[in-house]
This record gives sequence, structure tokens and C-alpha cells, in this order.
Amino acid sequence: MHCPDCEPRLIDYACHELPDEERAAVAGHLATCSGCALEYCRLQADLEGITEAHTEAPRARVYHQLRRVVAREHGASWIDRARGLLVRPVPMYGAVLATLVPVAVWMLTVRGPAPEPPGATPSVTVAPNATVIDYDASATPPSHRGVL
Amino acid sequence: MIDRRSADEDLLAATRQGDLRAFDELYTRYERRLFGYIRRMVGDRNQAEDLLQDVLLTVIRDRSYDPSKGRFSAWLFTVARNRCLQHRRRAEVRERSPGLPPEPVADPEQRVARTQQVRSAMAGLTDAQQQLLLLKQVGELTYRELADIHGVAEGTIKSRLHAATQAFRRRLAELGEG
Repeated sequence: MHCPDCEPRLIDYACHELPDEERAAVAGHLATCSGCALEYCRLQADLEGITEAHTEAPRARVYHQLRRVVAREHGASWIDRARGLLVRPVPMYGAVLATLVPVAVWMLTVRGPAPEPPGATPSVTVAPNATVIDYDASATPPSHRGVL
Repeated sequence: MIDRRSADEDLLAATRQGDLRAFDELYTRYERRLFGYIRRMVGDRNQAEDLLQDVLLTVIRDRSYDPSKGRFSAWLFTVARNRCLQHRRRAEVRERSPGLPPEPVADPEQRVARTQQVRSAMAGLTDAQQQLLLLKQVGELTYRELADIHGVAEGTIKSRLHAATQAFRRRLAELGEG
């Protein structure tokens, strides 16, 4: 490719609108011709100038207003949210159970058996095979023993 | 799963299903380019912000968009262009004045000499040339998409864009010399 062929293709080249074959030919020419390469750089800078001069951020309130409207119109309903909880990879109810069950077991263990209803005969439970170590039933009780 | 690599079309679908993270990503991608384009078309900042909201809500609400028929960005800028032209027509009727392209509004950004020169050079072009360059450079639309928007052949868009680019560069060079 020569300069007269390259020049009219520079805009299309800068806009990424050339077919692959022509694009490769232009790129090859730009790599060897300083004049066309310089012209391409200038063109590119001018085109980028258009973009830079015409991009601008709106004020933040625009974003907040829009987000509110989108949330109101398209936000998930409570049914969708509940469904979302159930179909998660680790279901939320599983996590809740994993937390609550050990706590419940611990509380039952600490509190002991439930109190008996009023009027009921208190039941004395004796372990069937209870053994007492170092106890002599025939010995004098400690209160009847001499002090000295 | 929504992330920065998600396609625009996926983000739009997720936004419509109530995923606000998808909306945030979509907004971040387009806010500067779309607002810049609209602001250039209508001039006034407040009106441009209103139009930006209007355009984005329209594309989110309108379910007629078919991703198989074209890119989301092309559709978005088509909607924006139509809204801006509609707004201009109404403004012209209200003011009974010819539809001259709005002059850039003075703001701190314009103190940058280069930006000012570029805007001045753009202001020297015809309205059609400005729109074409903005849609190409700011909207990043292809020749094919521009041809669809304007209802002309791709070759026509190509020659018009070449003429607009050359006119813009000529004007920019004159301003640089002056």
C-alpha cells in the first residue's frame, strides 16, 4: 500500500470500520511510513477530542432519583425475595437451623427437667445401684461422738 | 451473576427483574457518554438531566427491544436522539425561533483550551454533521447502526462521516492557528 491509498482509509481505520484485509494493509503501511503515521495520530487525537469534550457526568441526584424509580417499578416482591432465599446454594433456613439447634440443646441441658405440677406427690428417685464410698452404717453418728 | 464483564443486554434483563446492582452497572457504563450527548443536543444542564432520566426509564420500561436485532447501545442512543429532537421541536415551537444548535454552556470544564476549541469547532458544523460525529464518537455506533438510525445506505453514512470529520478538523485547525 502507498500513501495515496492509505490516506482515504485513515478515518475508517480509526473508526474500526475497515475489513480485516484492508485493516492489516493500513496497519502495515503505518508501521513503515512516518508521514501517514503522524497524520493518523493527529486524526486520532482530534477524534478523541470530540469524545473528551462531550462526555460529562450528570449530578448525583439524577442517579438517586432513577434508582428509586427503578426499585419501585421493578424491585423484587416479598414472594420473589422468599423464593430467592430458598433457591440459594446454601439455603438461608439451613444456616438458621445450624445456629438455632445447638442453642436450643444447650438451653435444655442447662435448665434441667421441667417442674412438677402443683399437688402432685413429689417423687423421690433413688438410683437402683447407688453406692456410697467410706460410709459405715453401724458406726456412731458424728453428732453423738465425743468431742475429744 | 452480574459483574463488570456482563453484556449490556444481560444487565438490562437483570434490571427489569429487580436487580439494582445491574442497574448500577448499566448506569455507570453510559452516564457520561449519554449525558454528554444529550447535553450537547439540548444545551441546558437541567433539561439534559431530565432527558437522561426519561431516556433511561424508557429503555428499561420498553420491552419491545430485541437483542437479536442490534446492540443495546445503538438502541439507547437512538432513543436518546429521538427524545432530543422531539425536545428541540417543542422548544422551537415554544420560542418560535429557528432551531440553531445550542451554544455550549459556560462551565469550569470549558476553561480547558483544547475542550473549548473542540466544542467551537463542532459548533461550526451543520447540525446533521454534529449529530453524526457525536453518535459515532460518543455513542460508539457502527456505520451500519448509524445507517439504520438515519434510514440511509451504509455508504452514504460513510461519505457523510468523512465529510463531517474533514470539516471538523479543518475548523479545529483554523481555531488552532487563530
